[in-house]
Amino acid sequence: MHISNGIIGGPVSLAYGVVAVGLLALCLGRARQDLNERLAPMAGLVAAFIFAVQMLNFPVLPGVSGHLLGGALAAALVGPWVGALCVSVVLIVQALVFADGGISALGLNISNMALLGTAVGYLALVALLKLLPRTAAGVGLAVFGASIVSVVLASQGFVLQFVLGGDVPLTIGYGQISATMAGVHALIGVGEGLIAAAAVTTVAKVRPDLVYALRGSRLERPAPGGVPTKVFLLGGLAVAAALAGGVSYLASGSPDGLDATTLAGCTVDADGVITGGSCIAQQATDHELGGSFLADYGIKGIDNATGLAGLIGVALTFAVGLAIFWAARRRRHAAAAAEQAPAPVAAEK
Amino acid sequence: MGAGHTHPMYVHGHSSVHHFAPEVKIAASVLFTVVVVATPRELLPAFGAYALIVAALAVLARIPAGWLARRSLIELPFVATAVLLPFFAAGPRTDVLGLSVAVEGLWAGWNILVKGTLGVLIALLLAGTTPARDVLVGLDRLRTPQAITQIALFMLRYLDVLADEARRMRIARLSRLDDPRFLWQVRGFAAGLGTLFLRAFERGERVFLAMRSRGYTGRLPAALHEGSVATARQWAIGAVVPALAVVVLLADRFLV
Repeated sequence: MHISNGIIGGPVSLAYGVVAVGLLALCLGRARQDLNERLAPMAGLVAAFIFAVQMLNFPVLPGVSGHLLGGALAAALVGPWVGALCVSVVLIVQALVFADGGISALGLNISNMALLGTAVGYLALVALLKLLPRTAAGVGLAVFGASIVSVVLASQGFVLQFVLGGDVPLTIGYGQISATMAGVHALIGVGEGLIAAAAVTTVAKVRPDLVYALRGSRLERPAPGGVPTKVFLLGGLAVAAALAGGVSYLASGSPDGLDATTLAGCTVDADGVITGGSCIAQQATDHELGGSFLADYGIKGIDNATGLAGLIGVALTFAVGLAIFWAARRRRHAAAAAEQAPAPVAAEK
Repeated sequence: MGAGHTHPMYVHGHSSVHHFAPEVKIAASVLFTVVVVATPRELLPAFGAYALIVAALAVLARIPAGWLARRSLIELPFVATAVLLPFFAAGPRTDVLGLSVAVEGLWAGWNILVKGTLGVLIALLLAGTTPARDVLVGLDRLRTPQAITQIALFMLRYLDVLADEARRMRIARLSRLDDPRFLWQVRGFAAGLGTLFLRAFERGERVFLAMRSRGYTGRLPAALHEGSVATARQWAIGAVVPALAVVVLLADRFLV
C-alpha cells in the first residue's frame, strides 16, 4: 500500500508527516524499555521478514500498490511499540534505498502501515487471545484474525487520506474506493494471516519466550475433552471464505459501469500474492480497451474477466490455505510425537 | 556471508557523487523531492528543469541511463495506472486523439506521473551511489534515533541471513528428493516458513551475542565515522541541488 509522490496533496502529507514523527517519538520512548538483548535481534529479524514479504506487490489504485503489510506479525512477536518501529524502518529503507513509496509520502505510509496497522493488529490480537484458548491453534487463529483486521483497517487509513488530500474529483464515489480497497485488502489479509499464523505458531511452540503477545507463557496442550483442532481449522477457513468471497463480491459487484469495474479489476488480483503478474496484464487490456471504443462490449468484457478472475483468485486462496493448514496440522502431530521422546530442541541449543 | 556489504540497487563507481558524504546526499534528496511535490502541476517548464537537474546528477554520478530506465520500470505499473485517471475524473471533458477525457483527470494523471517518476529517479540516484550501510551511517549522523538505526542495521544483516537460510533449506529438500514445483512446493513452503523464521532467528541471536561480546553497545561502530563526515564544503555543494530547485520553482511561479 505504498503511496508514491504526488497522490496526496502537500498540506495533508505534511500534517501526516508531523503526526507520524510525533507518534514515532512516543513509540521510541516506550520501546526503549522493551528493546533489550532479546528483542533487538528479534526486531531486526521481524523487519527483514516484513521487508521480504512486502516485495510481492501489485498496483491497486493509481499510484498505490497492494502487498502484505506485516503489522500484526510484528505486534505479535515484538509488541506494538517496537513493532511499529520495525515496520517504519522497512518503509524508510524502501523509500531511500529501493525507490519504493514516495519520500514525501513517508509520513502517509508510516501512518497507515506502521502506526495504524500495528496498533489495530495488536488490539485485535489481545482481544482474540482473551477469547481463544492458549493452544497452538488458538494463537494461530488469533494472529490470522488480527492480520485481516489490521490490513483492512490500514487500507481504510489510505481512503481517509485520499478523502482529505486527493485533489482529483472522481466519478466513482469515495464509498466505492473504500469498498475496493477493503476488498483487495481482505484478500491480502487472508494471505498475510496464513503466513503470519504459520510463523508465530512455530515460534510459540518452540520458543514461547520470543512471542511478545504471549508474555513468555507456555502454550497449553489442547485439552482432551476440548474443542477439537479440526473445528478450529474449519472455522478459520469459514472466516476466510466469508471474507474473501463476501467482500470481493461486494467490491466487484458494484453497478457503476466502466470506471468501477476497471478499478475493481485489480480487486481480483488481490491474490497477486500467488498470481502476481496477472494484474499488470489486466491493466494492459484495460488500456487497450480504453484506447479503442468505450462501447458496451468493452465494459462487458472487463466485467466478465473480473468475475472469472475473482473466482480463480478465491479458489487459489483456498488451495493455499488448505495446504498451509494441512501442513500445520501434520507438523503439530509430529511435534506431539516428538515431545513424547526427549525434547530434541533442547539438545540443539 | 561475504557479499553483504552492498545491495542490488548499488552501482559500483568512484564518481564525485559516490564519494559525497551520505548525510548530505540524503538531506539533498529529501529536500529536492519535497520541492518537486510542492510544485503546482500547471508549471510545466519547472518540471522540465527538474528533469534536467536529475539528468545532470546522473551524468555526474556516471549512472548509466539504461540502468535508471530499467530500475524505474519496476515502479512503472504503479505510476502508469495514472493513465486511467483521465477516464474516471468528473468535470468538464475534452477530446484527445478522439477520446473523451476529463480535463481535471488529465491534470491529475500528469501530476502523479511526473512527480512519481521524478521521485523514483531521485531515490534511484541516491540508492545507486550509496551502499545501504552508508545510508544508515548517514541517517545516524542526521540524528536519527538509535533504536531506528539499530533495527535497520539488523534488518539489512538478517536479509542475507534469511536468504541464505532459505537457500540451505531448499538445497536440503532437493537433496532429499523433494520435487520443488509450484503447487507441490506449497506444502513444504508453508511447513518450512515457521522453521525458516526460527532458524534465522537463532543464527541471528548468535550473531548478536558475538557482537555484544566484542563490545557492541547499540551505536554504529566509531570506525564508520572516521574520515567521511561531511565537511562544510560538501554541505554547501549538496545544498545547491535543492536550492536550484527552489530557484526554478520561484522563477516559474513569479517571472514567467
